[in-house]
This record gives sequence, C-alpha cells and structure tokens, in this order.
Amino acid sequence: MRSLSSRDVRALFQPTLVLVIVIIVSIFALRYTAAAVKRAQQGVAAQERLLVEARKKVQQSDQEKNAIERYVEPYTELERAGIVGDEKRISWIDALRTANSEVDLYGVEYELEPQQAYAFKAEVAADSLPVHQSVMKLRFELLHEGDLLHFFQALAAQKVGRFTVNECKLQRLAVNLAIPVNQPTLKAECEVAWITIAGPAPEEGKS
Amino acid sequence: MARKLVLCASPSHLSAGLWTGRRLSAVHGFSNAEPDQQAFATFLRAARGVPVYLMADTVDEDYRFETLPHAFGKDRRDMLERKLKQLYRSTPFFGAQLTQREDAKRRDDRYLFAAVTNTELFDPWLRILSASQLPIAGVFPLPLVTLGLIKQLELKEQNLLLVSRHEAGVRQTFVKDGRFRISRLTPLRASGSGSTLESSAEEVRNTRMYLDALNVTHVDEMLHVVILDQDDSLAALPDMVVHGRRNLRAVRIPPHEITNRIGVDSTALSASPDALHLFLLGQQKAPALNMAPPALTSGYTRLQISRGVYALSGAAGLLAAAWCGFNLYNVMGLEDEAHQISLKTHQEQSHYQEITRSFPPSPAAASRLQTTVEVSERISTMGRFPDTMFRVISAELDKYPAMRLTSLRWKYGRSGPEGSSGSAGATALSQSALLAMELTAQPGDFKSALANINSFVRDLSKNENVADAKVAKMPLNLSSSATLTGSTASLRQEQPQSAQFDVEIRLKPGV
Repeated sequence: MRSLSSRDVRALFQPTLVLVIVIIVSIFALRYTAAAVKRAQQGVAAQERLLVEARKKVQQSDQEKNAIERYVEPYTELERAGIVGDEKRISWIDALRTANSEVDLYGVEYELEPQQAYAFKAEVAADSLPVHQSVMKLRFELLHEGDLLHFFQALAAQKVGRFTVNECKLQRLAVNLAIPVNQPTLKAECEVAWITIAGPAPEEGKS
Repeated sequence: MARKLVLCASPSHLSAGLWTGRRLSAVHGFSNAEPDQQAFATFLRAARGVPVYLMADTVDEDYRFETLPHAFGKDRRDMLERKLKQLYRSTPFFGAQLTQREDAKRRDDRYLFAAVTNTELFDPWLRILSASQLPIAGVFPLPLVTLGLIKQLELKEQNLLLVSRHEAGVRQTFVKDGRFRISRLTPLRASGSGSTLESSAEEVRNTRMYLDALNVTHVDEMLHVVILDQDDSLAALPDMVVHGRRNLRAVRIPPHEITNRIGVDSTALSASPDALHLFLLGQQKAPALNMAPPALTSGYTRLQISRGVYALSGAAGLLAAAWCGFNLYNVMGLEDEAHQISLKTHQEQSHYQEITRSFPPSPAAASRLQTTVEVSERISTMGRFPDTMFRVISAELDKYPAMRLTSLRWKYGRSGPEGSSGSAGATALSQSALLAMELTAQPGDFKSALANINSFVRDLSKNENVADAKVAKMPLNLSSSATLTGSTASLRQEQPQSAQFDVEIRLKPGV
C-alpha cells in the first residue's frame, strides 16, 4: 500500500474536514433532538399523571365531601385545643402553674427545649404529616407518689395542648423529723413531650 | 450526473468533447500543430476539475488473448502484472481484462491484453493535460468503447463487423458472439471520395478473408457488416462491400438513425467523425480495460476518494437530518399529545372545582383533615402515665415489708436497650422501670437475703401486666471473676444491716 503524498494530503484535507464537521454537527443535532424527544415524553407522562389525579379527585369527590363533613369538626376542635397549629408555649406554662396550684405541689421548675420532629412518628403512622414535639423537663417535689399522677391529670385537664410523659425519675428524700407535717418526701424529674401538628400551608388552601 | 471530458487521440489529431450527463457538447478537433495545441490548452481551462477520459485510436495498438490459470485477489493481480510486463516492455500504456472463463475441466480464465505500442501519440496531449492538472480517469482502447453499440443497436448476429470512419481512418471491429475479437484501423488515403469508398470496401473484404484465414470465422458463415455512417458519406459502401460476396451482408446506419437510436445529437455528429465514440465513452461508466499507468491516474484516484468522502459526508448528513427530522416530528406529536391531555386535565379540574362549590367550608383538604384527626387520636391513645407501673410495684412491695424502694426511674418508649432513643421504625412502645431498693437483713445471712430478692422478682414476673422482671444488681457480687470481701466476727455483736439491690421491670406493650 503506497504512502500518502503531500498532494494526497492536500486533496483529502478539505473533504475530510467536511466529513468531520458533518459528523460533529450530526452528533450534536441528534443528541439535541433525542433530548427534546425525552423531554417531550416526560412532559406527556407528567400531563397524564395530572389527568389521572384530576380524574381521581372528581371520582372521589363524594368521599371527599363525606370526609370533610365527618372530620371538619374534630379538626377544628384540635385547632382550638392547640394541638393543630403553632405552639402555645405561654398556655403550657400557665397550665403548669395552674396544675401546681391545684395539686398543692411545692413549685415546678421547667425547661422547654426547641421544637423538633416527633420521636414516634412511625408508631402513629403520621407519614408525611408534619408532627412536632417540644420536650419539657420538669423538676418538682412531692408529698407522695400519688401527687405525680394528680399533677399530670391536672395538666391534661387544662386542655392547652397534647403531651405525653416520656420519663420520670423519683427519688426518696431524707425525712427531717424536726419539721412538722407536709414536708416533701419525694423528688421528681420528668420529661414531657408537647406535641403539635402543623396546619396546612397557605397554598394548600381549602379543598 | 458528473461531467466528463472525453478525448479521442489519433496520431495526428485529437477530438474533444464535454459530456454533461446525458449529452455531448463542445465537440472540437485539434491537430498536432502548435496553435491547435494552445487552443486545446485554452479549451481545457473551461473544464477545470473535470475528469478526463482518453480514448486511443491508432494503428500502433496490440490486442491478444491469453488463457491463464484461474486465480483471484492478489494472486490474479500479481499474475497479470507479470504477464503484462512480459508482453509489453516498451510501453507504459497497457492493460488486461477478464473476458470469459473456459468450459474445459481446468476452467481457466481467458484474458484480453491490450496496449498502445507507440506512446508518442499521447505525448503532446498528456503534457498539456498534466499542465492543466485535470484528473485523468484512464486511457481506453477505442474498439472496446465501440462495444457499447451492440446493446443499443440490438445487434445479435454471431459474426459482426462494425465499420466506422474516424479522423484516423476506417476502424473495423470484429465481434463474435457479443465478445470483442479483433480490430483494425486503416488510415485513409487523401484521394477522391469514390476511391476512398472503394478502398474501404476492399479493406472490409480483406478483413473477411483475414478472419477466415485465422479460423475465427468459417468461409460459409455469414459476416454481418454494420456500417456506422456519421456524415452520410458511406451510403454506397454496403453495396460495394457485398458486391459478388455471398458470405457478407452489410447494413448502413445513417446519421439520423444514429441520432434516434443512440442519442447523440446531429450537431455533435457533424462536428467530428469521432463524435459517436466520444458520446459512447461519455455514456459508459468506464471501460474495464484501462491502459493508463497508475502514475497518470493518481489525480483521478484522489478525486474519486475526495468524492467518496464527500458522498459519505452527504450520506451521514442526510441520515442525521432524516433522524433529526423524525425526532422533531415525534417532539411535535408528543407536544400536541401533551397539550390535548392538558386540556382534558383543565376540564376535569374545572369539573372538580364545580363540585367543590357544594362542599362545606373546611380549613384544609379532606385528606389532611382525616389524617390529622386520626394521627391525633393515635397519639392520644398511645400516651401513658406511670400509674400502672406504680400499682404493680406497690402490690408486690406490700408482701415484702423488709424491702424499701429508694428511687424509681420510669420510662415509656420503644422496647430495647436504648429505649425511646432507638430506631425510627415502628415498634411497640412499652413502660419500663429501674428500681433502686434496699433490704434489711441479718449480717452474714446472705442466703436468706438473696432468696427474698429472688422471690420478689419472681412475684413481679407473675403479674399479668409484667413482661419481664430481673435483678440488675445484687447486694453481693458472687461472680467468680469479682473480689468478695467481708468479716466473720461474732454474729451476736452485730446489728441488722441494709443490702442495696436494683431491679429492672418491663411491662407488656400496650399496658
């Protein structure tokens, strides 16, 4: 096979350049149009999903109406009770004070931590529902262990929100025989979680 | 179709024409004289980049048939190259063509070898062509170009002699069974028209005898002479050829019939006696037998490769364009489909909006209302106070007055060692407690103390609400790997002592 001469190279340069340019342009054009096809297919798929969703909403409109009729009142009640919506920390503290007073405790020290995601979201099957908790640490003294339960019952009776008791530590105090009756015999440290469920975002709106 | 510059070179003359796809134009004749050579150079300037097909019409030609062993590929090329070099040492213009494969047992190949033995014929013209840098496609023998007529004129006779008049003289080409066998060029003598015809007729008759002498034809076989009369000058030739000869039959094809049946126009025919063959050379793709040396056709090879690359570019571009077009067509179709679906979606949404007007006012979507209420109920039912745990412990402690609870740590959360700080997966929640206790016991009465503790734990375990109860820490570490210290002083001198121990208790999930 004979080697290429300079004349051969000169003669083949232009056609080869044209071929390379055509191939490059073709590849770019094909990639661009293939991407456009893919985008269009995704657009169709998205529109189909929206249509299915819209049809489903129409088909389920009766159920939706029934659901609203059934749940709007309990929901409104939850809003009023401070369970749905923003936290009502002032109300919680007021409720603590009231419960302390009602049970005749010796005073309650509290420490409210920042809000965080509810720890047992999976257990209550909340899925995508935004459930939050604010952990409140309580320290107080008791005359006897029954006061602990009375205190929590009094707190719940305030209906200023929903709380669960996660942990309580009771420790017996040394009895000072020189002091008359009604001195505390137990020291309690408890951890309570105030639970709130966020209301719908403004854009979610009404159904 | 591609343009071609078709040339017919004879010892003293060159005919040239421009083939433009379907017709022959610009037919010119050039003599060997210097002014005509310059005119030819000027003529070439108008055909820049057009490939040149050169036809040789000369008496200095050689045709011979050889039978060679059947071969193909490189072996065939090498064999033919050796044979051609052996046959034609003095000229670079030679070539070979496989004509047929023999029927004999060895099935050898039969080749036609052809050459122009006097290269001076081409010298002035090739010099001008080289200067013009036009690509030369090849040098072809005129008789092989003539064969193109057989199909076009539907000549099916076994023994056929094609006679035509050219600038170089009268050309006779004998074709047997459709295959080229022999060709002769007889230069014309400058004399009167009648004597020219007579000498032409004589040449044809001589050719007949020559064929018989070579045993190519038998004396009794009929030889069909086809006279191509391009300028109406050979009207009397058929009669003169067959006069007194029973084994000759002559047919003249006049100019108008050549024009009608072949397609060459009368203007070109009248411009040169070589016009018909220039036309045939233009019509044909390229005769298989090319006598040009490779050095002469290198420019044409480059041109072909360039054209091939351009064709490849065009094909690639067209394919890509078609593919892109198909893609864009799909895109338009899909966009239209998406638009149609969007319209339906809007209709459904409008319908839904219409329906929702009859819904009672709601602070959130129905699904949100339902989920929120249900989750809230689950949270509510899931919460526990430590009352159950207190009851269980109190009930058992009442049975063991020597035991006293000093502290209690109660937890409600996921079961397991880490309690509520465990994994986020859904697991059953349960209450657990760690009891720190003390037991008043006689010094040294370890067995009785341990028995009481174990009995207490067993009783706890039996409670219907308890899942598990165990001693977390004993008053004495009786493990073989631990150190155990104490005193065995007189028991009567010692007071009752309290022993500390821890108990872990876990209630059943759901309690």
